[in-house]
Amino acid sequence: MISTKITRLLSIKYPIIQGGMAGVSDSSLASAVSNAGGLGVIGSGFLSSAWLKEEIEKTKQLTKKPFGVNLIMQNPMVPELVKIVIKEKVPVVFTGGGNPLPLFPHLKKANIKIIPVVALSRLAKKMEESGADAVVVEGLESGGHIGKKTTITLVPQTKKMLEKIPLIAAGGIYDAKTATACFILGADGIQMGTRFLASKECQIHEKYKRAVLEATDENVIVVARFTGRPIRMIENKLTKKAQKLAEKNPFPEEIRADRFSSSKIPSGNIDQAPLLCGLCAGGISETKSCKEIIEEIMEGSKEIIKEISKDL
Amino acid sequence: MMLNKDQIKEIIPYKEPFLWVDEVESIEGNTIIGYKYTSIKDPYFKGHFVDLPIMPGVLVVEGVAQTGSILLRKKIGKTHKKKHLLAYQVRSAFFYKPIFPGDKIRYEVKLLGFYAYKIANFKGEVFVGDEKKCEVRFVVAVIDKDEFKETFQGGKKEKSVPQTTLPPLKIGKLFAKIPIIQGGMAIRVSLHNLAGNVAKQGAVGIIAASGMNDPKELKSEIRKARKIAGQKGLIGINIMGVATRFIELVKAAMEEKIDLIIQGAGFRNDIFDLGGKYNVPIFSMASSVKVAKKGEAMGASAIVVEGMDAGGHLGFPKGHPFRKTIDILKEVVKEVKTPVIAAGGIFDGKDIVEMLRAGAVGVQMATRFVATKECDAHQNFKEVHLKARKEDVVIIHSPVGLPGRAIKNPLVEKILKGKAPKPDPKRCEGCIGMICDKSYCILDALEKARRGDVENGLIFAGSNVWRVNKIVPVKDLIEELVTEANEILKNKPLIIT
Repeated sequence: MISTKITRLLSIKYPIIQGGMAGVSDSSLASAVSNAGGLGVIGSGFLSSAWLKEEIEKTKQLTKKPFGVNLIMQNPMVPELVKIVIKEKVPVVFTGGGNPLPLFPHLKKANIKIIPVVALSRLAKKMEESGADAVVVEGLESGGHIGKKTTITLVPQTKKMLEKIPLIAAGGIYDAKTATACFILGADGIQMGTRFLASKECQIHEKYKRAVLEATDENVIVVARFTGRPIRMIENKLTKKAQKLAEKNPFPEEIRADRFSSSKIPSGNIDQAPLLCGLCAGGISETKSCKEIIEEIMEGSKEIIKEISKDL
Repeated sequence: MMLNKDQIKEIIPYKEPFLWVDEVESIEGNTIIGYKYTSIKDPYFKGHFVDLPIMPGVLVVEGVAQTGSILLRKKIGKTHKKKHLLAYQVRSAFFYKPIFPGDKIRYEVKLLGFYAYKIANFKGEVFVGDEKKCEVRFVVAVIDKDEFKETFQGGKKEKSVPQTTLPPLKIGKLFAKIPIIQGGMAIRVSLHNLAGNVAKQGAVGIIAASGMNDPKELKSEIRKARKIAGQKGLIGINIMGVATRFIELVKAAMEEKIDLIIQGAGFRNDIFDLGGKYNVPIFSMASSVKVAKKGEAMGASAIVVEGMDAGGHLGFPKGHPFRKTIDILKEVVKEVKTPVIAAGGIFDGKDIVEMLRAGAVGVQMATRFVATKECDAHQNFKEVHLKARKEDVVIIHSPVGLPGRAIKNPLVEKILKGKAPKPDPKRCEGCIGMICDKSYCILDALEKARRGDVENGLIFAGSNVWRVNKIVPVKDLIEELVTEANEILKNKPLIIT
């Protein structure tokens, strides 16, 4: 049992959070992570309120441990989704992609913890001042929609600015070494997406999983910069198309954002699908169960710290 | 063929030798298809190039843009004749293959986005037969002819003449003899009778649309106000951006040809789009330079700067310290080009002159207009204004998430103690949706007050309300204010720069 500000806040065993992945992190993945002692998070993305309700209910059947829901603020359905989250008494909500402040009073009243995901230290501070319970800073190493700063700079700089709430690091973390690095930088917890994407319990198509395992730092690229909302994914025919369009200096309206939002790719047609993925995929070579992933990190970090202190 | 050359010339202001669309085949949704016939006899082939006559790329781009402008003018609708459509940016242009004399050029132009009736993004593709010759992305700027004249042709620039009387209010096409806007007071405190009578006197009357839920009610109020105000009177509405039926109310007002709309509490893009469509100026409320600049950027025709001494909701949410009107005003006039109106705590002619000297083009006053015969609120409501002492004016928390200034009464005492009655969920109209924190029902409290229940209702008022001591006709109030201002200006004229 490890005790950090974040394990105490969320009543979890380990300070490891599974990043919300739109449609990908459903009840199977979220419950597996929660059962393994971390915090599983359902990624509501642009999915329907009916989908979210069903996944919350399934998660509750699969685990008695706490779990969270991630909301994307650009989704016009957010008010509907919030109602469900409140009704279902989900313990914690993560927010991304836009301003979450209008949700604060409603979630507070329902006693739901709020953890916004931000990509700048200034915004992290603002979230603290506005009453967030914790904050995730996400570096540009992450998959999907990305910010402009790196995890190694965001974590210590944000830590200095925060007065009381716990800080969660995200972006590029996938094993004991990267996790330990973040704890040393001042994080109270870590959030991982891509590592759990390549977990046994994740329900994406096997071909997508294999693509993550085979990916190197070279073929995980960023597309759609021209929209002002760049997205990181594995290179394929779809990204080539997007790059070709980008050469023409297009208008942001020319790309259909929904075609680039994540999916489980049930058809297995991975050439034309957005294979959202973080830069750390280059370091991930086998699928593991969520329990193995979490325990390896917790065990490994103790070893690493021992080793380092010897050398220093 | 949908449009021939003559029909095209009626829509877009081009003619030979600079018309590069000969016919329009179709306009469907956001796509227009048009043609240009080329001939070896066309004069430009002689010079482009010597010994190699091919269609100049720039002229193809021009043709695409002209075709796009036909579509855009159709989209703008009736008011398009009042606008100039100008080239703003050629974002990219690719010329894949040459076009030769005699080719029939086909333009397929798509409008990708049209923002605030000001900026239009286009993508155009050019074909001869099935062969793609060219691809262009470009941006067109839409600007009011009057604004263009003023900005680029030195139109209406007047020299600064010292003013010895109160100058009129001039904003774009709006003209009011007296530079006073009667502030909109929700809920239903300023309706047709107050607004109509204010407008009749040459100032600007504002009907408060906030708190209304039925566009029909608003339409009827505007009609009645117009009847009182007469032809020249300016009638506007005031509305909160967070109102649930915002768009329907705004549309209803625009259909009634409202002269202006003052919008506060939450920025909305859609109102500027509609303002462009119906040609109605939108005034944005601001309590900081930041918000004022945002309003200007979004296309506001004027900025109403409201400081801490106003009544009702104050634009200083938690973490934003209260500031005086004059201090914000001085900063805002430096940072924006848009005309600025001062509001909040303005009580007499001296205050009006002070604001004009600081750079405001007019003032907005509300509390003083409550104490008029014509104000639409109940007599009890007005009496509370007369009786209020300085110590009775307090700041409360409003469920919309902003502080508000009100006059102390039994309800306010309860609010201050956090013991106000919770809203009845059965009666909740969801007037402002999720923004509401439901600590009490402000809609109900304000409506009760204006109906005369001054015990259980909420009476909003400005910080100077304790100075109000009599109820007068609107005409007398305005005359008093103008006389006071003119007295001062006679001795020390106003220099407008």
